Amino acid sequence: MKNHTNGILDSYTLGNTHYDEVYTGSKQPRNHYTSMVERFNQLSLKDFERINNEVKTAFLNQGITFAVYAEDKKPDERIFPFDLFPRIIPNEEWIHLENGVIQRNRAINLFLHDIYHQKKILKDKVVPADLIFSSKNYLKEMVDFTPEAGIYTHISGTDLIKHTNGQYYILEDNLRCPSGVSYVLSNRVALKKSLFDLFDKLKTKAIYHYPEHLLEMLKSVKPKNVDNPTIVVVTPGMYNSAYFEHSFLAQKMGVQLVEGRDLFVEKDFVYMKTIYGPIKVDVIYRRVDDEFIDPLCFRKDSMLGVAGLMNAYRAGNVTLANAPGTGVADDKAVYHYVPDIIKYYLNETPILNNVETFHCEKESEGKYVLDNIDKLVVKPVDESGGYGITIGNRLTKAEIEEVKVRIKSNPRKYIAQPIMSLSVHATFIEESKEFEPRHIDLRTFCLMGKDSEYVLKGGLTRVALKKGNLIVNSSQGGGSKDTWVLD
Amino acid sequence: MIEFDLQYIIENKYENPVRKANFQLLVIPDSNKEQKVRDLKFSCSGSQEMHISKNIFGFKTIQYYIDKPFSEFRFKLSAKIDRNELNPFILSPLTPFEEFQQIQLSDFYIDNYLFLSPTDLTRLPVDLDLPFPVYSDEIQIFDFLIELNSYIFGLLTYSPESTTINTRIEEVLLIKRGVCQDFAHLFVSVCRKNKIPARYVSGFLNQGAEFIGSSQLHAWAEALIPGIGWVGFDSTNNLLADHHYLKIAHGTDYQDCSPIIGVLESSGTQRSIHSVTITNQ
Amino acid sequence: MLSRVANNLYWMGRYIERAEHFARYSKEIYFSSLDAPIMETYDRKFVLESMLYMTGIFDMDAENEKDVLFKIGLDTENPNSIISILNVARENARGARNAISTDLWEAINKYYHLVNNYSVETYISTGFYDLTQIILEQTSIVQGKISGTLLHDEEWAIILVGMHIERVIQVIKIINSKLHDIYKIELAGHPVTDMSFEWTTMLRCTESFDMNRKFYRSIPNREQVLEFIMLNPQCPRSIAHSVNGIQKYLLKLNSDDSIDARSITFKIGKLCAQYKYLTFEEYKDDIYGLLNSTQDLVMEISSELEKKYLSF
Repeated sequence: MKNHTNGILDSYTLGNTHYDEVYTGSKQPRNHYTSMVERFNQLSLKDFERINNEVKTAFLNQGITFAVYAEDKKPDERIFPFDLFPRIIPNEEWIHLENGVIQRNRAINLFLHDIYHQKKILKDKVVPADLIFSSKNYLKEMVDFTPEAGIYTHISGTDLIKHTNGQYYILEDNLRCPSGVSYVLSNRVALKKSLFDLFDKLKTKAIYHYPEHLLEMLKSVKPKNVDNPTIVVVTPGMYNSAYFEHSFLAQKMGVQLVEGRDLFVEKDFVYMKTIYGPIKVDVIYRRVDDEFIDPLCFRKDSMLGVAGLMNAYRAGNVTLANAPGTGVADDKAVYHYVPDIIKYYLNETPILNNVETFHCEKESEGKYVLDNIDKLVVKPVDESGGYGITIGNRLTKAEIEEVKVRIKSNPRKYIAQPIMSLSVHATFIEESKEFEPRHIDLRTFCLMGKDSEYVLKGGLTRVALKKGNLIVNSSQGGGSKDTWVLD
Repeated sequence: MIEFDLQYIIENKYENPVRKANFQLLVIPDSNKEQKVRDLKFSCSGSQEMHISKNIFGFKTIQYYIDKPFSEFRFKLSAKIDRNELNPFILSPLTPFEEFQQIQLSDFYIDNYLFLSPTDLTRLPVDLDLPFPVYSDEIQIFDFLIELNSYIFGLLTYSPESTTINTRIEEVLLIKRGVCQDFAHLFVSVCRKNKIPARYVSGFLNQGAEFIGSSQLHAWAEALIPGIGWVGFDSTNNLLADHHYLKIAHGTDYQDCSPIIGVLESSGTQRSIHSVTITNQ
Repeated sequence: MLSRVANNLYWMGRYIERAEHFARYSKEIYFSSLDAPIMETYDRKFVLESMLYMTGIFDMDAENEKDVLFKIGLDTENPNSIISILNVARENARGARNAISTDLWEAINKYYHLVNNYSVETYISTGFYDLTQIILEQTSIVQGKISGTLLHDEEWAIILVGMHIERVIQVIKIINSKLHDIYKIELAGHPVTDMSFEWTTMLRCTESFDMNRKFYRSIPNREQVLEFIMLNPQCPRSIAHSVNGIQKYLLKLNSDDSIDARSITFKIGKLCAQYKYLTFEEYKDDIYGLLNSTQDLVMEISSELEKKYLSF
């Protein structure tokens, strides 16, 4: 173990191949990190570890946990690891991200409306019709139905990474039930309690009002003829891994948290069962997947849903957020077309980068691919589950030649993308008792209501705690950081 | 015009009491330009009121929710139906080649994709090696469909209870037996394979005419012929659907048309009897 | 309030109360026995049997003391152990997470983690007193959060209905259990003067010793103790006080003070009236009869309450 008397970040070793969020190549803190690095360096390792442990205990007592189930054993309750060193995004950088996220989600909503109505984008051959019709997430129950105010993706989560070139790229869209926002809010509260003086040095934008925005958004999409809507959050139940988030959001909005079994449908209206009898429900923020929401309509064996819900929905008597059938737009295959979708509906240039895609069947792109295989990920278009993917920098010379032969024999079958790498951020590693670079990404949260758009300032910075690991999911040993957008 | 009297009864008996139930019935005959429904009456054994709603294709469904225990569910529907007489044989205004070109258009596919995409119940086996009639740009679609109708009629033997509502085409082709659903599913599948939009139809059959399958709810198919419109084909009887056919609903396959779906809180088995009486005056 | 959430809150109240009674009874009876003046109560097997009886464990011989302590306290396989009861209480709180305050939730969750992280080894060797004390203290904190951090509405009332129903049932069980012990001792022919120790233990098991002293200012005896913990409405652990509590909080749920003899409010009203105007003289010869009829009636009220408000 190294001596930390000079500051706990002094022993930090730069990762050389990735973009480091905190430091420049010569290990100078970037401007917007200077005062934060200074403050952390004033802490002794002992103090830091004490604070770190206090925060962990607080998370456990607050029940900010997820359960890991193992056979024949009591479910193991784990906290979602939280790293005290916040990720900082300068304001101008954030404005760019926010505009890009709103643009993208605006276009995706128009796209969803179109493919469930006139299907112009398919007829104009901008997006292949088969790609949409063959998706199991394209629901015939949504054809020719318009949700209140034309909103499909009331809540969306857009995942972004920062590449080696310092540019943000969209990794994927999450348009069904994106989760994680409760961690964003809890992380901030925890950091405020444990390292309150950080907030003197730098001013971050507030995030506490997200539940208020969420509530307002849900009210704005109430069914017509309802003045004062009853809003509920529907959860699959307390054994769901995101139950903490469901109860958190319901409580912060002051609405009921219900399960499918608390609801029933009579004459195309939805009611919840209370101790004094049924109460009509008008807006449902549902955290149950499409296929489980209505056993009369989708999976007959679903115990989580409400029989007749889709009828009530199609009769316009209840709003579902998000709308069913949005999953068709976050398919991996549709991802490549989102820049075209933005141009098609908004006639604007996409603000945020998609990871570039080269279609080998196009002559110029095909030639580029053949000349640069060592720098590209090559994927067959018709395979899923990672089959047939080659990653350029891990191939031998002989293997590269093999890939070339395969592409030449059937160029239509292959696309290629640059090898993307996630940026790294100084993160405290308990085993080594040191800060080390770890990969991070960013999930933003965007709300779309009737005439309103809102992006939570910052979002969830997820961090892969295992060295060299690119997977940031909590189930795979990922953690998170508080995310600061500078004021 | 022919006037029909319809009576339809469902009786479900449950081994153990049902605590709660949601039923959705798709049994009200459709009102369209060929048939009008009058004096519609329906009722059931439970105390709650039944409610009319619409399904995704715009057909009337009856919704019923009950949260009081019961061990028997009886449903009764009666109606008069005025049916226009119809000669289903129509000459196509288009040449075979024009028809062929129409159905190849990508806009045509996009507008009719629901009735062109295979579903679980209308998926033909990959290694199908039966001598089905072959469609080409040299024959009228209508003639092809008549040939297909009679081919399926000859291929399968009508045999009550030989299959269930979940039987796949693969198995039907193996045992070469089936009920009206299987005839209709097979017809629909071959149409779709040839890029001709086709849909599954449920309805009643005039019992006076002594057709196969008239004692119960019947099933047939409709295909979309460019220049003509939707035409009904009944492979079970090797007939075209005319004024003896009283349609309830159509959909992509049986799943969209099942007469009764229930989500019940109960255990044990159930017995179900459906009886149809349909007469013309 | 959702019926399912009401169900969660009701059982949360009942289980929190139950865990506390199990912990207190086990602790008091165990530690008082260590220097008991009477041979029978001094006998460890006698004491362990009493603890098993009270906590509803009938399939175990009171041979090995550590096994008994483990089974009653931290055995998660035993659905009637204190830890299992607490875990169910916490699951119910989790199911009603957004109906209760963050403060109350964190108190229950912290209580849960304290007990679940308690080392079994420590508990059966030296930690028995410590753990039961933690349970009693954490219960007080939880009760404090219930009264201090919840809106005093139906959700709050249903928790308290649950707690008071459970208290009646547990106090009746404690009285039954101790009366049973005392009967065995009396059979062995001990003089009545030696019995004050046993009556004191009964008071301690219901947390009423200090109150009783203050009220009577004399050495506890049969009449005094039974009158106090059954009839005295000022003693918060007495049956009279607890049935009054059930009535008070039930009326918060249902303001209709019905005269229909089949209604819950009528039944509980009648029970309260019975306790209000009862004297020890009237029932001293049939204590078991009164305890049994009270318990039956409270069970009946509980099951009707579940039918009327808590089914979903």
